[in-house]
Amino acid sequence: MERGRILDVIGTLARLGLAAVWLVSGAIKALDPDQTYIAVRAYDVLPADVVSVVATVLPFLELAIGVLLLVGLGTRAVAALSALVLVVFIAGVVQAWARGLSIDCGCFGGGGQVAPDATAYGTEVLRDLGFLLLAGWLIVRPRTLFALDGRLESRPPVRSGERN
Amino acid sequence: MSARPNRTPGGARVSAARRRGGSGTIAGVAVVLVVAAAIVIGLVVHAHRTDTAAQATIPVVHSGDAAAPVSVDPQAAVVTVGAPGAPVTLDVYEDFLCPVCGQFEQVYGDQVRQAVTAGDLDVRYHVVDLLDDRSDPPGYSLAAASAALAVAETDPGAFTSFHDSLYGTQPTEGGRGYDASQLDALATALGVPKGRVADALSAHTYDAAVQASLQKAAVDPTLQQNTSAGSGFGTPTVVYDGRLLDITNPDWLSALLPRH
Repeated sequence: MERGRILDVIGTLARLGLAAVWLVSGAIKALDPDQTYIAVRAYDVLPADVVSVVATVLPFLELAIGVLLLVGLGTRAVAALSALVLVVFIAGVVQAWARGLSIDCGCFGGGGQVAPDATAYGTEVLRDLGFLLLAGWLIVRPRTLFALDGRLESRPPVRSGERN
Repeated sequence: MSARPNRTPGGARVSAARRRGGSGTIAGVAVVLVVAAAIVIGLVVHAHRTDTAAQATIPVVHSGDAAAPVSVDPQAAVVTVGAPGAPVTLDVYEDFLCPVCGQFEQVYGDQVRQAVTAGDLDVRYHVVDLLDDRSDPPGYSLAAASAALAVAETDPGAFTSFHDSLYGTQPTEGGRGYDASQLDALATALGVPKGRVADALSAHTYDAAVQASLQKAAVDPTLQQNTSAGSGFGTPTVVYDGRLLDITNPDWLSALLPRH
């Protein structure tokens, strides 16, 4: 009972923390579409016309994930989507690192080519792994406080025999 | 104990799973709707961004030294502005998409024009396509440089105004840039016969010269400096007498010019 409560609080912090990450990164990217295009292009993975679409859609996807996490709707599914997007981001950074590109990840604005000694691939990957950890927690245990998910369930919040 | 009708007989576990499935379905539908809405908004924004940029007319800026002699070396992708034999000759390497080039033109453009008009200065403009992949779609740098060469060859007197107009309302890095018809319309507004620039762009008349000029500059030891992307060739680069000028020093030009 007491333990469950603590886990709920941890889950809630993970959910709101991850929501903040997506809302901030999405808003910065949505407000500067030209810079976002440069950032996506710098990864040198997608063809130019696909880069253009990805760069304009991605910020809104991030904002949508952020809003859903903030209100706690479909937490497990949204956490899984977060994890998927984060894995794609990490793969993008790792391939740039492995190929010897000199880019900034553009994770929170910025992005594009930088001087070879100004790259921060290790930090960027670690940071994304940290976010992935938050998403992982919510996939395993999506039950949190102040979530719409809780209201959608017709039974009282504390159930006996609840696995989560 | 459930207040809901239980269609499957017995099994509290089945009933709980069903109920959870019910709330899960509502949440799932909501998630799909929100994510789909976000993607649709993104696609609409994308379409809108492209459309508005395509409809823009490039505002004409009439250059202050429109009367100065202009000669062009299309093989080298260099346009020289100013009376031959002026006491000072500058080599200016610029990319029409480069924001710092735009700032350079905003701050020093008038001084350069005045010195050219006074006969104190020749400027050799090297139009390069350093930022070719920084427009959406890529290629604005190359198109603008080629268009400038086409203008200089067809109607030399229109070159500086064409140049100043492109910097006057410069497309943003990462933005769409101007397309062939917009560049052609600007040239036409400056007196170049309609279609000349568009034809040169579709025939890629100057592409090889512009690209070769950039490649030459990139390996030229005198042109290397510290740029935002590390040490190397960057734009703008201003060269006088074989040395790079520090254009962050506000007196870089007046220090070179003869005193009157």
